Amino acid sequence: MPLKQRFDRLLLTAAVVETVLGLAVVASASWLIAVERYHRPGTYFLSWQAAAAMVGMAVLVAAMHVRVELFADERLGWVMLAVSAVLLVGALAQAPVAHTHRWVGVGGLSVQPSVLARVAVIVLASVQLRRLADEGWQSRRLVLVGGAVAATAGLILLEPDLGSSVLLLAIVAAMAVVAGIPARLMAAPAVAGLVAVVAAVATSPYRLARVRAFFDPQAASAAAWQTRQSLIAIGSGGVLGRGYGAGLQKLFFLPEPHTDFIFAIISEELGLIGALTFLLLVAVIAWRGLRIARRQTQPHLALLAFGLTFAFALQSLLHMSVCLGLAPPKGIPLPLVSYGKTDLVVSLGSLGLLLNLSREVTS
Amino acid sequence: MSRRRLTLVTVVLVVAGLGVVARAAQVMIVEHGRYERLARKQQRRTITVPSLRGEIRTADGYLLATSASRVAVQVDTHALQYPKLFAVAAAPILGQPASRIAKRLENGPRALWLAQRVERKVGEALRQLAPGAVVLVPDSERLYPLHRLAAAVVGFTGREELRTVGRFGLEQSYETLLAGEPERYLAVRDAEQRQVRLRRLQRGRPGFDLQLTLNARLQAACEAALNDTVASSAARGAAAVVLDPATGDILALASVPSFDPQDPAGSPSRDWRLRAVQDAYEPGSTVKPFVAAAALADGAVRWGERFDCTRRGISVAGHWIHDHADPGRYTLDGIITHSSNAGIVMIAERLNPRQLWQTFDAFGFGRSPRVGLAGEASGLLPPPSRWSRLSPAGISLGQELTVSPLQLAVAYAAIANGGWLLQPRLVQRATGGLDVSNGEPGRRARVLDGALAERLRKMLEHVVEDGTGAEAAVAGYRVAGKTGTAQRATDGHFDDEHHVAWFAGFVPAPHPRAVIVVAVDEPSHDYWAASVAAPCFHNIAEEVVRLLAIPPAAPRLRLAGGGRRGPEAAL
Repeated sequence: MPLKQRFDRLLLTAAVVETVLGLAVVASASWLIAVERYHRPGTYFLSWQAAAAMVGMAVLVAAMHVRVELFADERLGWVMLAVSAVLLVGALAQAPVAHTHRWVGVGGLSVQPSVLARVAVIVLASVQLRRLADEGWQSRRLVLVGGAVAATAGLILLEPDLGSSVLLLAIVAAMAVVAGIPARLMAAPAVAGLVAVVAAVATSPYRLARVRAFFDPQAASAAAWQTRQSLIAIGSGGVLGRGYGAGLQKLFFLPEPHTDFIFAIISEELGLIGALTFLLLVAVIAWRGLRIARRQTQPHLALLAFGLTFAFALQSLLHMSVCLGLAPPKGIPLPLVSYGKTDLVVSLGSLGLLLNLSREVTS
Repeated sequence: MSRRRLTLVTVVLVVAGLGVVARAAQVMIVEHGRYERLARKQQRRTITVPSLRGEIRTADGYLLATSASRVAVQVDTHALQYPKLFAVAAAPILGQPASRIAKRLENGPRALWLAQRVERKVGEALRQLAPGAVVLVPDSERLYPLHRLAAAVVGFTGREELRTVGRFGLEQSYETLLAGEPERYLAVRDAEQRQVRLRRLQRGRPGFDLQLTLNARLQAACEAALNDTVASSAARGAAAVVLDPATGDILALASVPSFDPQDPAGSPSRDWRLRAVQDAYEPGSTVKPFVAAAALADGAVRWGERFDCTRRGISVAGHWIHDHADPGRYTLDGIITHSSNAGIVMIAERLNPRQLWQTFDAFGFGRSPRVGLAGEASGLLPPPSRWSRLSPAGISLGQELTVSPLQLAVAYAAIANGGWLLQPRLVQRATGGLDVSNGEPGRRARVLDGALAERLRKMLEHVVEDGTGAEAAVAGYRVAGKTGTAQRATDGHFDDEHHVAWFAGFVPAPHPRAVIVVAVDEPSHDYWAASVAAPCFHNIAEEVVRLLAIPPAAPRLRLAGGGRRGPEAAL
């Protein structure tokens, strides 16, 4: 009989602190963009992000109190995935925003379905991988689940959003590895995924340019410009930074200071100290999340906790790597910090699930 | 679930995290300096705001050139919310059609200079229309309150961005002094080149003011006299110099036709020239006194010797040189008084060519007078090694050399002041006590001894009293001077079409206060100096004695019988 225990307060504290700090950073990074580019009041992005944070907190609290038995039900994952797929197709059908179909309008709000799809896939994979492990890696189920994941990644790729689909595949792969998938079964999807990514890069001029720019930083392309401006921001920040709000790279040198390059703004204004603070918060959340996963008695809940934690950690590290010029530029937001309503609500919701799982411990 | 694999993935995540930390430390600590420099380079820029340009004044305090503070109006066309409305509102303020302003706002660059050199209140009115989009930048306008007066001396300016740059005349040659030091600001800018913050790096300094030696009223009188002469003789142009023979100060430096420095493009560029300094012409008979000086210094002419000038000409190296003087047997003084070509050629041929050349060289011919203007004419004085057999005659008749009116004035000043060759001076001083003279100030060379200079002065006085310069006389004053009618070389030979009419002299005779040189370029119908240049000299000399308040000479008794016996009679 499992004992009810108090939820992980350190995890909650880290999540709230990062969210609040994130709001402050968004305020600094987005003010000028809001006024100059979107002709809105300077508080435009901050207000939306703050509203999303409140909704996210509500979702977090709700997720903390969901009955965990629900996650044993195979149908939940499929339903979530189906809803995500519908939204993804809906986004493709709608008019493009910034030449992409990454958002879908739902009741006056724009939602990023790829973020929902990520959670859906994690929920689905946690149950299916457990059953696969129990059934000895039955090939029919393997193909079914693998196909569903590949189809979702493909839809996201069509948006186009290579970064998110690679992230999705990496999360599922990590979950499969942790679930104990035999190495021989990993080989075929790994090769297929790699071929798909290479094909996606090779057939798209801007992706090719970004990859080229990554290997040749002096190239005179827009991608090289982004990475160079990001490094100038981070490098000129130094140890202590220019001071909150005093950054100069957000003055339209950096293309998306409030989303894709928010870590560069953090580093420029708050210096190495600020950057390491955010990295520390990510590390605390990852540590607590993995600890929660380790303590689960039910394998599918362990996988769920691991998947959510890994998704959070990987996304954070990828965002920082892109800003630091360690990875080709990709539109990956920093969870809890970057401006993005769906991403913030979903991230807080996933952390709520983790907190929920943290209460289920063995006596 | 495999715990081993979970640990493995955890390790991978930790390694990745440490990699990010290491990279962040590398970029932010090790390479901080490099990125800081890159950031500085793209975010900062120095802005220079030109200081107010110095003034140019005459010696008697008239402003020839001054600068007024104005503003330049820049519009950020992206920040402008209602360009059409703005154009309509700005049209009456700028006095331009709204459609033209709208077109410029539409097609121009993002940072558009809507107006430059406008009054501050005009700029403020424009800023009121769109405070967020209109920026006022300090600017200045160059003004020439006396318009055409001394235009060719002062020159004019052009614009480079918001900078006023001297393009001609003193504006150009004294650019470094007049311009001053610009104010420098450090601007922090964004990726779209807009300024975010400003910090002053260097205080500016307004330009130095120049005070000239010119006398504005005398200058005006000279220009008026030249204009009359050019109009009545249908000449191509004319130049005049008034020089103080005691100091070398240039009191007037006139050139007509001239131009309006506010609108130099309104006149043909040939009128921008300061003919008195930048053009050199054949001096004609005005150089005869210098031949006389050489002959007297050399002792080539005996006391009272008379020359046979009855043949209305003389043959030199197979060429016949006409003599326009009345036939007669003249002394040296008579040759100068009546400007006898035959007589002066006879004297010149007695002289060693080198001797003749040295005398001309000593008076400054063939050398730049260096008063501080660009393109000062040095004139041509060929050395004896390049002379033909005709050259001594050609030089002594003022046909084989060219001089600028200013050079001739400096040479006549040496006669007037007792033999001292002066360094002419146009710019008296600049504020700040800077030495602005081009040569050493007051540098002199003795080129004549006092007695010889006095004798030459008397000869020149006779020219006006009894000879070709009669028209130059000023009632109540003793005037001395010499006419010169030169043929101008066109396409390498002389003809009877192109002439220069000269008159060079000084007033009043015993102790001259002003040397005056007039040159009329290509007078059309009557080209004789005696009837073209001498009357012009007369007009200028009258103004000189009036403006310099020179007291009239004591009236001299004239002997009955219609002619005072000149010194030549005594010799």
